[in-house]
Amino acid sequence: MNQRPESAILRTRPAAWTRFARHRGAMAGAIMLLVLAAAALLTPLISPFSYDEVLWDRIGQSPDIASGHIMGTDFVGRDVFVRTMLGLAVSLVVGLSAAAVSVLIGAAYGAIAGYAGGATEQIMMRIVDGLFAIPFMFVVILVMVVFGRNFFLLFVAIAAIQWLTMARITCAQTRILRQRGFIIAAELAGLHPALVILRHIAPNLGGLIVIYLTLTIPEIILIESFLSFLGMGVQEPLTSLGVLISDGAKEIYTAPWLLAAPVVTLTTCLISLNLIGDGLRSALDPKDASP
Amino acid sequence: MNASPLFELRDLIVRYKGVQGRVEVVSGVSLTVEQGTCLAIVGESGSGKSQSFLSALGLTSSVPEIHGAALFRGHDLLNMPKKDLNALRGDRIGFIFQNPHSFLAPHLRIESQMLEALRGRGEMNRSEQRLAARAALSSVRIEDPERVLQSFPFEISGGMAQRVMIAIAMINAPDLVIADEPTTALDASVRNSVLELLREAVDRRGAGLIIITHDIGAAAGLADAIAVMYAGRVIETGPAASILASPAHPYTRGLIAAAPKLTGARQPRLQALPGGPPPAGLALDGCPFADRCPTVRTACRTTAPDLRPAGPGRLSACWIETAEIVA
Amino acid sequence: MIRYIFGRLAIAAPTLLAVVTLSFFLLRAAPGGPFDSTRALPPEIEANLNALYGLDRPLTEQFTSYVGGVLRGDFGPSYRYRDVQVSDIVADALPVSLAIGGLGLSLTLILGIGVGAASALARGPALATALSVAISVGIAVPSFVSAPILALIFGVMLDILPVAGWGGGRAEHLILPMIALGVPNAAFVARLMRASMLEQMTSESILAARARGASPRRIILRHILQPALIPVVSYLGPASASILTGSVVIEQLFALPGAGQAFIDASLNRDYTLVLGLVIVFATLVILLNLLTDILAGALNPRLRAGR
Repeated sequence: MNQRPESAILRTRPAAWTRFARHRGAMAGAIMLLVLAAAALLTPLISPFSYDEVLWDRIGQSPDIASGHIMGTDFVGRDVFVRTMLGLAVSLVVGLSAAAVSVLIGAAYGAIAGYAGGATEQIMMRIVDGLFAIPFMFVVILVMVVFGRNFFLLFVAIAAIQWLTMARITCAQTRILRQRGFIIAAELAGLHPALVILRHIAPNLGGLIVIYLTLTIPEIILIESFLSFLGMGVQEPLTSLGVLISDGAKEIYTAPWLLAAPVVTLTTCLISLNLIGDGLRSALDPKDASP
Repeated sequence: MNASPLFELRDLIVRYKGVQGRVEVVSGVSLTVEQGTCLAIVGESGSGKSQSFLSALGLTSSVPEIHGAALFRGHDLLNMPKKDLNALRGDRIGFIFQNPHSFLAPHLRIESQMLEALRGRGEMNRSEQRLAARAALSSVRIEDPERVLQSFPFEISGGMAQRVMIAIAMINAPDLVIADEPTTALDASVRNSVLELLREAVDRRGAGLIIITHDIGAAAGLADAIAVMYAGRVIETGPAASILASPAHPYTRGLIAAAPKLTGARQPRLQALPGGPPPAGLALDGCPFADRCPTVRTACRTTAPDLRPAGPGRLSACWIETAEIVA
Repeated sequence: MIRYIFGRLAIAAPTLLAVVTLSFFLLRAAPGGPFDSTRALPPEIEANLNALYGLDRPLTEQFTSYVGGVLRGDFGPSYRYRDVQVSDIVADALPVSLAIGGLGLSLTLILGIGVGAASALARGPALATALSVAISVGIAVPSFVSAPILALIFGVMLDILPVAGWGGGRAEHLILPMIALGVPNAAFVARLMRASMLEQMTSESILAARARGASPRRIILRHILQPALIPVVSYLGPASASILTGSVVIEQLFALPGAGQAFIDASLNRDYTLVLGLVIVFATLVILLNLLTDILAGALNPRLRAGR
C-alpha cells in the first residue's frame, strides 16, 4: 500500500478521475445535478414570479407555457416552478451542510476511537451500536414537539442521526492505518496523539470522507423531506421539496401538477446524487467496485 | 489408452476479453506429466503458469477463450461436459491453492468443507465420511483432527490451514495433484514440512504432482522435471537435475542466480534479473525476454525463438546455443 | 453463541433505558404544561390536575414511578383525553401498524432479496441494466411519494383498490400500504444483496470449492447465498426501523388508525404522555428487532460470534 494520503490520489493519479469519468452513470449524475443546482439558484433571480407573492387572479392554474407558469400555480396563485426550485435549493443547502457536519463528527469520533484502540474503542463503538438501534426519527419528532419547529434544531437533529455510519467506517479504517509504518514512526518520534490524528490519519481519510459525503447528502434530503412532509420541518412561506410534496399529495385528484413538479425534482436529484456517490466509490476505492 | 500420459497440455492458448481488446495470458503451452513424477512450473508472477492449469480445469472466475487441448489420461478436459469435469475435480485431480485462508470459505466449518470433496462417494454414509475426513487430517500430521474438523478457518493457523487444503486435495487419493504456490503464504519454518508432505503423497500413491512456483529453490528438492515459463510461454524444459546444473536459457540462469539456496550465497543477487516481464497482451515481434537479456542479439529483436533441443530430454527457446555462452 | 447473545443484550438494555430516560426528561423540560390550551385555569384546579398526574412530586420520584408503571405496561393517562389510558390507545393502534409493518417488511425481504439476486446473476447487459435502473429509481422514490401516486393509479384511475381506511383489516385495504412501504426498502435490500452476491461470486473460496468437486447446487446455496445474506440480515434491524418510520406517513396518507397516526396526532396535540408512551413502544420494538437481527447475523457468521 502506498503512504500517500488517499485524497492525494485524486491529484497525483489521474486514474481516479479517469475511472470516475468513465463511469457513465456517475457522469450522467454529475451533469443532472449541475443542471438542477443551476436551475435552483438561477430561477428565483430570473423568473418574473416570486415564491411568496399571492396572485388571487391566478389560483390553481394548470401548466401553461403562454402564461409563463410552466408548471402551473398553486391554490394561492404562486408559481409552482419557482416554488419547486426554491424547495430544491433549500433541500440541497440543508443536505450539503448537514451532511458535512455529520460526516465530520462521525469521522472525528471514529478516528479517535480507532486510534485509541483497546477498551476506549470498545466502549465508544458499543455506544454507536446502541445508538444505531434507536428509531431516531421518533426522537427527532419528539424534540420538534418539545422545542417547537425550529430550522436550526431540525438541522442539528438530522446531523445527529447521520454520523453513526461514518463513525463505524472511519474507526475500521483508522484501525488499519494505525499499524502502518509512517504512523508508528510518528508515534516513536513522540508526536502528540492529537497531532498524529490531525496530520497523519486525517489526510488518509480524505477519500472515504468524500465518498460518504456524497452518499449522505441524499439520505439527509430524504429525512428533511420526510419531516417537512409531516409538517415538522421547513415552515411557510419558505418551502422545501417535502413541504411541496405534502401539499401536492393533498390535491392529487384536483391538481396533479402540484405533486408532479416536486416529485420529479426530488427523484432526479436523489438519483443523480446516488449515481455520483457510486461512481466516486468505485473510482476512489477499487476494493468496493459495486456498480 | 495406456500409452497416453497422465496429464498433457497441448498448445494451450488462453485469452481474456479486456477493456482494450483480447489479452493473451497463455500463448501455446505444451507440457507432459507422467504418473509418479513431479513437474515444477517455474516463473515470475504473471508468466501464465497458474492460468495454464486453472483455465484448463475450468477454475477461473471469468470464462476465458481457450484453444488447444488439456488431456487427462487421454480425455480432453476442454471438450468434456461440465458435469464430467466436475466429477474429475476433487476426485481424480486434487488442487492446492496459494493462500489457504482466502481459499477456505470463512463461514463454513472445516468438516463441512472437507465433506464436499467426498460427495461423489455414494457408497459412504455420513459417519464413514467423517472417519475418512479424520484420517485425511491425520495423514497430513494434524494431531487433533477432531478439534480442527469442528473449527472455522479463522480459528486455525496458516500452516494448519494449508495442511487442511492438502488433506482435502488428497482425500480421494487422486491420480494428479496440482499445487499452485503451496508454500508462498507460509512461514519459512512450515514451508519444508508442507513440501515434504506433497512429495510423500506422490511417492506413496504413485500420483502425478504439478507444483507451480516462482521459487526455483523450492522446486529443486522436489521436482523430477522443470518447465520454466515466461510471458505465457514455456521457454525451457527438461530433467530438474540437468537444468539446475546447466541452465540453457539466460532467463533460467537468472532465476537460479537469484535463488539463495542454490547459489550458496548468503544474499540473493537481486540484480540478477533487472526489470519485469512485458505486460500481457502486448504484441511482440521478437523474443519476449530480449529487453532483460544480458546476451541479447539482433536476431532476438526480430523473431521469437521456438523450443529447440538443448541436450538429452531438454528443450530451450533461445537463439544462442548453450555452448556459445558457456564458452 | 450464548456469550454473544448476552453481549448484545448488554448493549440493548442500557440503550432502551437511555431512550426512556431521555424522552422523559425531554418532555418534562418542555416549555408549558399539558393544560396550556385551556388557558387561565384557576390555581386550585391546576393544582388538582397536577396532583392527578403526579406533577407535584419531585422529578426523580415521577421518573421512577413512571418507569415502574411502564414495566407493568402502564403508561399513565392521556393528557389530552383525560379518561383514556395511554396503554388502551396503544393497544388499539399497534395491531394496525404491526399488520402493515409486518407485510411491508415481508415484501421488502422477498422482493429485495429476489431482485438483488436476479440482478447479480443476470446474464446479458439488457436485463442487468434494467434491474439496476429499477433499483436506483426505487431507492430515490420514498414512501411519501409512491403512496399518493399508487392511490391515484389504483384507487382513482383504475378504481380497483380502496385508498383510505382500515376496513377492519380486510386484505384489499392492506395492499397499497404494503406496496408503498415495502418497495423503497426493497430497493435498498436489493442493492445490498446484489453487491454482496457479486463479492461472493468472485471470492477465491468458490474456486477452491469447485476444485474439490462441490456440486453447483451446493456452491450456489452454501458458498454464494449463505454468506451473501449476512449483510442483508444485518440490515434487517435498520430496515424495520425505516419501515416503522415510514408507517407514520403511510398511515396518514391512507387514513389508517395505527400507532404512527396516533403519534403524529399526539405530537400536534402535545399529548405528552401519549407521545412518550409511543416513543417507548417504538423504541422497544426496534431495539428488540435489532437484537434479533444481531443474533441471526451471529448464527450465520461465525466470525461475528467470535468477536473478530
